[in-house]
Amino acid sequence: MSKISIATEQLEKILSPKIKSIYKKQLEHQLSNISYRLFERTLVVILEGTVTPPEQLLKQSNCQQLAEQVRRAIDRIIQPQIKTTIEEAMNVKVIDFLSDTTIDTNRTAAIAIFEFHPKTDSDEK
Amino acid sequence: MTETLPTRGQLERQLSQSIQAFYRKQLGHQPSKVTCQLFGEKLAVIMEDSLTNAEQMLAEEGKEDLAEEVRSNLNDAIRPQLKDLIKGILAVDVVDILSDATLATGRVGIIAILEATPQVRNPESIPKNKSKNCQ
Repeated sequence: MSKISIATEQLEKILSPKIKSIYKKQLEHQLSNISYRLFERTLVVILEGTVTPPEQLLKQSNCQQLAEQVRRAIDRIIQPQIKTTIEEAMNVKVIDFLSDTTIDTNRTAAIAIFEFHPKTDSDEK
Repeated sequence: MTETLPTRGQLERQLSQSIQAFYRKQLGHQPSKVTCQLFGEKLAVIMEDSLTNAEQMLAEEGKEDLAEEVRSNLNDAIRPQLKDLIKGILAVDVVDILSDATLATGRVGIIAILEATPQVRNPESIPKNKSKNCQ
């Protein structure tokens, strides 16, 4: 994959609808907020409002362990799709993808480590 | 007053060194490199070569599921102390800690969500978080 110049705002415009769409299509679930930070070879994506109503209901019904098990399974399916979306949007191979969800705070964080530092418009300033 | 505050770089270096020492003390294994990056009210920590020999051995012996379970439980066990460590250095509360590890690369990533942006001598150096609301 080759280097591509991409503005951070552009990255948000490209990534946010696609990530939203993954949650919508797979889980009929709407995220409340997505934030990004790109530094060197690392992209941090923070998704707010990722926990679905069934998981929240399980948690409220004292089935926290089952809720966590469900979330792990959901993340295992969703995260590779987000990884591929990031690779396609940034045209850079992701060599490592780390992600975790806290059910209590309804938040998921993902860290994508790139093969090389993607060139952004801010690099040229 | 501002003069006595640490710079963003000093805080990030102090965090890196303290987290490296914390993992060595808790798990008997020192990650080869710890990188910390503050942005807005968030902190990203990337640790290289962070798996213990026991976890590596499990993974090499084809017991990846057990190795992952061990790592997940270790992360849960040290989370409260890690929270305190970060809070102690940044002087702000940590409202959430999310962490994950990849067995194949030995890399651990941690995101700490802070109650506020830490006070530093050069606040303009802390990048604002890029955020997009989903309507």
